[in-house]
Amino acid sequence: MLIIALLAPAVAIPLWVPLYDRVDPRLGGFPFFFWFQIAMIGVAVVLTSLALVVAAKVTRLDRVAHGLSPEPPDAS
Amino acid sequence: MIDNVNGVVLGVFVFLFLLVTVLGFAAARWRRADLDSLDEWGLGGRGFGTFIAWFLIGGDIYTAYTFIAVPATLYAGSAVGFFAVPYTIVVYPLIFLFLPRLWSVSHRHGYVTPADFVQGRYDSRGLALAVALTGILATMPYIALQLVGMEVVLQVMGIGTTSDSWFVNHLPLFIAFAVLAAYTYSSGLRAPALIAFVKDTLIYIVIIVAVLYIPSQVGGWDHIFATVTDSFDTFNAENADAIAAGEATPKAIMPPDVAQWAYASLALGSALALFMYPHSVTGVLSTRSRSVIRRNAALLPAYSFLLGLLALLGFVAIAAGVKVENPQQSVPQLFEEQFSPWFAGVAFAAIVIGALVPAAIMSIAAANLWTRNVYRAFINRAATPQQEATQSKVVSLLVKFGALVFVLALSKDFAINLQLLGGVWILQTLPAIVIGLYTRWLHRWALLAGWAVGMAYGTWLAYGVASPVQEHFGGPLVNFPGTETKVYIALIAFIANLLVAVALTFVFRAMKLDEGVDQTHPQDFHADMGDAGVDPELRPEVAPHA
Repeated sequence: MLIIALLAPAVAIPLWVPLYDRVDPRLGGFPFFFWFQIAMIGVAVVLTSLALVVAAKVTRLDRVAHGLSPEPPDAS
Repeated sequence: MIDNVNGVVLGVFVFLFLLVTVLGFAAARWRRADLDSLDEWGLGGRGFGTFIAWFLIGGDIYTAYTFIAVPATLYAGSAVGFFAVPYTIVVYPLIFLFLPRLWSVSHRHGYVTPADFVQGRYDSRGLALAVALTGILATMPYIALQLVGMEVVLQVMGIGTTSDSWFVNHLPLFIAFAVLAAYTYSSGLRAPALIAFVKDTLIYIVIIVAVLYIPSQVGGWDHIFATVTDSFDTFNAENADAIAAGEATPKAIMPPDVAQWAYASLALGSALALFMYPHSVTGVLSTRSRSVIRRNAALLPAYSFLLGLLALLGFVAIAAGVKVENPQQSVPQLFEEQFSPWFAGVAFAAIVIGALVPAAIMSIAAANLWTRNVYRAFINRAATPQQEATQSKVVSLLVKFGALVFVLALSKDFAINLQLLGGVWILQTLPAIVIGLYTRWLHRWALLAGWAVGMAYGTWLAYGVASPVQEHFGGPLVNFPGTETKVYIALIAFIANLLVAVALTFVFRAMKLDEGVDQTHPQDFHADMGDAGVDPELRPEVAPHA
């Protein structure tokens, strides 16, 4: 659940077009529309990286719940 | 044939092309293994780590055609084309969530294709065949488009435009293609994996140089956006009558309010479709462990950043005064005008090599589908691994040859239309694959019926779209039923598909129709490298349990 909460903004915000379909404020000559979406890439990377940390823990619980050892025998 | 070609450009280009050719053949010896099985030839031994997978999947998703077509839409004044950026943001959380499950179950059961999974999960060769054929059908025009991208670059270089002979004009394309076909045949997925290193390094250098250097030459971003706005305003004023009559499309640097749904639905629909494509599944299944996929979901957006900057080069080309009939030539032409000849050669090589990598992966993926879900499922049910590998190798040649015929015999517009349809079609396999990863609630025949409805409805909707230049298949958008809002066709067909699948599931369950036997076990969706049935011997460089 925490993973989904972390990842949801990375899906929802880029799809919420009225939020960023505007010219101002500009940044370095770029209209808001363009720099916001490019900045969203960075936000998505941060969120996905956090989800990665959470997922490591969740995966251990999932594995135990499904009768597997907590760590993969051949983790890499 | 090459009278008006700059010698330096050509020299650098040919050198780099030869370099990747050597790499392609040498790849057969990389992580040496017996290439006579589909796991080795078609999935590179299922042993690629985070680093290699990043290059391979990146080379797979961000194709040469993307790098040409996306800036071309901006150059042509359709800002909706920038949807490629949100699309490549949205796709990674989805990959993060869904594909590790597909990886686990595929490793446990030796599935090579998404249709293999559908077969195992739903015990239905019909449904698996539908998924496989959709994959092959959607992939063919995608390969053809890589050739279109390659040809655009060759044209800008001046190759293959001056002769009267049809054969001579297309000779460079034939050569590139023959080389691609030969090393894919001999090295399998290892070839594009190794070449992707060169391709992505070149693309990164070219684009970073391009976005740092060219805008400053043209007068800075402020000036670029101002010039483009003026240029579009002028166009709209001069063509006001035609626009009012619907014969021309107004240009804008940002999507107008009415296009916001179109923009969002294109981004979402394309993201959902992307990882249903057989070549992205092939890339993902070739990784070493679940965590490789997740790490890559966090690392791959680096390419999206590149794509965003590259898309804006379409505007830069306008500000730099590039004038081309075919918008797809705008960025290659910009490179030719702004870069010194040797660097233009590097840039052109980067794009052409960028076409070879995905074309190779796509043909391998389509060949795997044929082999596993048509050949082994219907023609030779007792096929040995060696027969499978041979079958795939030959089919990968046929698929590429088919794509070549496509581009040469039919119009390029036709290839682009089919690619548009490919996106609509491939999305119709999502319920069977993704929903199947979580639950078997949907009945197998209901899924098949939903698929058929989605395919037919989507194709029919696309057929009915007219554009100023075409009567049919004129674009990816139609009014959402009952509204005046334009939405991506693939999503509308997908909704119809889901509704049918859910409704018929209730009916079929009430009728107690046979649901088939599920080959999978809940634990299979969590298994990782080294667990029982997930064989670490597939890692050729490490002895088992070393």
